[in-house]
Amino acid sequence: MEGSLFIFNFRCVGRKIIYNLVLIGIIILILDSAIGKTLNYFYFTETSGVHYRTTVSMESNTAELLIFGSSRANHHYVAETLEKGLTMDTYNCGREGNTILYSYAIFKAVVKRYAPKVLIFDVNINELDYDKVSYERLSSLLPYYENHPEIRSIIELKGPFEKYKLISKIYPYNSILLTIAVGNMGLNMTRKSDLKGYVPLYDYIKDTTLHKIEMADGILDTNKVNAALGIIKYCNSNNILLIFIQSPLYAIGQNTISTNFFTKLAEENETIFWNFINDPDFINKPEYFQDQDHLNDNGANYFSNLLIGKITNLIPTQK
Amino acid sequence: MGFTSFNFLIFFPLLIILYYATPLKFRWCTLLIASYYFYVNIKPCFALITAGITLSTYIFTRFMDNTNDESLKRKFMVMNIILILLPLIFFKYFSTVNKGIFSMLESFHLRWALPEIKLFLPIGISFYTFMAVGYTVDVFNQEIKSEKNIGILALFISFFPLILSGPIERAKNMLPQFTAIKGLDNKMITKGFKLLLWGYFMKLVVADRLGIYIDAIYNNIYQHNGTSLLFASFLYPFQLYADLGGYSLIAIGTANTLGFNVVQNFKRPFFSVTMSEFWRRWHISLISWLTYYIFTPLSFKYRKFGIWGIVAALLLTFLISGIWHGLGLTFVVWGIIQGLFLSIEALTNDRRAIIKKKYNLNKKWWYILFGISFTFILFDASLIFGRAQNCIDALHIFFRIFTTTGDLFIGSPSTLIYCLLGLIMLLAKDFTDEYIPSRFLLFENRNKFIRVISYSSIIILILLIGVFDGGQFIYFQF
Amino acid sequence: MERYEIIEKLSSIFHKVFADKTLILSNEMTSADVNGWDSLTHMLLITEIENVFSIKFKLKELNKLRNVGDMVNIICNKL
Repeated sequence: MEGSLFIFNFRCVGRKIIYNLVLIGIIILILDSAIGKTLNYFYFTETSGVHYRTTVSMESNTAELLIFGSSRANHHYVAETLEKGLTMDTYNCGREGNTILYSYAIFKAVVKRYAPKVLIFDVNINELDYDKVSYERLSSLLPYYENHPEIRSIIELKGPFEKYKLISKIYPYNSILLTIAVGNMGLNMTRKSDLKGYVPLYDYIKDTTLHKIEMADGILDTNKVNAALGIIKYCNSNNILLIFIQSPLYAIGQNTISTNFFTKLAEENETIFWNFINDPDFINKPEYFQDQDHLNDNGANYFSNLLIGKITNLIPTQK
Repeated sequence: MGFTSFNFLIFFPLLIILYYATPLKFRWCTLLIASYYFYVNIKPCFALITAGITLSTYIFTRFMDNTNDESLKRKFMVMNIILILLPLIFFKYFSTVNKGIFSMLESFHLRWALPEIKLFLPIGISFYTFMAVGYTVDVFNQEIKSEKNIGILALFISFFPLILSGPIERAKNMLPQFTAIKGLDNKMITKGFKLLLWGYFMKLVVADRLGIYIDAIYNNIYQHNGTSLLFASFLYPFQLYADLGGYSLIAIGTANTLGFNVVQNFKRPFFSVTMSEFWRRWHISLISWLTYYIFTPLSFKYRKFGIWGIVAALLLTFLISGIWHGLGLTFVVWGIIQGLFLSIEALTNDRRAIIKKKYNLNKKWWYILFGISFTFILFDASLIFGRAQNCIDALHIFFRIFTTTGDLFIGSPSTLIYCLLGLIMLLAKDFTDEYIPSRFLLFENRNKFIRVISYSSIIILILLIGVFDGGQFIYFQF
Repeated sequence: MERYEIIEKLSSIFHKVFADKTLILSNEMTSADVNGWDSLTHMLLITEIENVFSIKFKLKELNKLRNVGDMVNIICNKL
């Protein structure tokens, strides 16, 4: 009796709910597809801004010298200065808030298309530490999932369900609706000048006392370590000059597990590693910094000129 | 897995199908297994605590019902309450108390290596603990008979929609529903889905987005000027409302889709004209619990002191409320401030009632607007203690708000724009629900087309500007 | 004391506690029907009733009160 009551109920009442859910589901699918495709179109027609620079890095630029890294890469390496000094096309692929995992993805997309000559990877003092947020920041790569099979394994590190979330065509463009709109405006192009990927900072640091960095011991992240090793292996087998750089900080730094990792590899001649932390040329010059972590345009130019000399010394031996 | 994790998006539909496929008689079993599965997925050992509390509560309440000796009954009740509260006190306050003891010993130049255990608070422990305590007291007061079926009791304490963040339910409301599960109810399920949808909107689009902006300011209070601190403080109550209110709606909606009625937890609190009214609209289930089990017995005990007895009961109740939220001085201060506000209102109630009646103020729009603004400012000011890391920071924030001005920190303009968009939608809905409840209906519109378009639009909006992970950030450096 | 006398005395208590002389009590009346009757003023009401009728309530009894009718019944039983 109970059983038949349940079936009777389910057949009549449940059917209506299922019908409504399916109806709404279909409407969502249609809207999601239409809006997603529109966002996709306008994302790739942006002419300035952070999305544009990532797209250029991944899909169109053919520079011989490339710089990778986070905001420190983006603000520390003046592409035009390096270009003039080294007579090599240069592009700065650094992007704020992103880690070596992002850099590895850009690297993979680049080497699939052509063979650059020199690669600089700017690394932070905690570059290889395990940090949950690094994986969440991989959302910056979502718009490229569809057209770049070579980076899908990196994007899928974000979480076990990324593949399924990407069924939604809007999902890769979550939260960047306005940025896409602005990136398509000519106004933005003049507001944020594009200097081959380099973004200059113009402020000066307010607190000129040198602080010591207090950092707890982290643990090395396997994925990030594998990314670094993957880059080194590829460059070594393909005769690409690879340099890891810890660019200047306005603080008294310390040796971290990341620093030690790169130092060790350099000692074993696996790669080149230049460490500018605690470099007297910079920690006595607050006028070169916008804040503790970033050089301003003056500092970036000084730093870039310094690098020209060092890199020039390397190039003949590489050839 | 929380309500906003992708896992839940898979777990929940599967559960619904499984639940309605189970014969009526055994549906409570499906729910019990699902609830423990849900909780074990967060951390297996937490489920042990829940099971322990269930066992202890079952045994003691059965003993209570099987004796006529009042004092023995009372002993059983007290023993069970202590047992129930032990894990809560241990997990929530151990590290604070530990640090306190440690520093106290240090000041006497004694360095005992006390174990510095990093304890993670079992999620939900504050909520289901209160539910279990409430049930124990209800059995003692003979408001309800002790549940004979330990499985049903276990389900009440571990019911997954409520286990993480409430609403705190009464055994009187839930146990009868679990014992006599009804068949599929179309209206209830539809209502549930609507609440779920709006709850997700509140949490993902409004609360988490506001959080990004407010965190950028509140995590760097010494670098921001008074204007930015004021604006962030102004926004914080809305973040809290959208967060806890949204989460509550998801919890209630989930329960509804499974056919259960759960108490409303928020009722458009920002339209309250007095602080007393505010506490009848904000975190209703918590306040009801505190009123019934703490305030009423206390004020009853002190009733011979008249209005001052009530004031004492109020202050104690809100002190407990503050401690329940967290054992830091900031929470205690917040609780006491709330107690003070309500005490002042209680003490001046007579005189205010006379003035209100004389000028028929309750109907005047400017009085209502004034009341709403004043109540909001009071609650907002007290919340600075709730949000700041410690009391010194809180006082510093007040100081900076009153002494410094400057440019408002924008950070990422799109974040602020999304914040305001979501917030305006939320407040517009609450406004129409409060003052013109029969107009501008979207989810409740008679026209099916409008309803369907509304549901779809909200889902699309969540996909477009909901915050799905911690990858969003506002870059802030000084 | 007769029931109607109890209701009369109770009315004047309500008028005093809620500062409203226009209140007319009914058996089904609850706190929702009276402006200003909440958990705060409820205890003032109870104290006043205890004083006027010279009775003492138990907490258990209070929790069982659902409306004014229950209140009148319980006062009746105690007198």
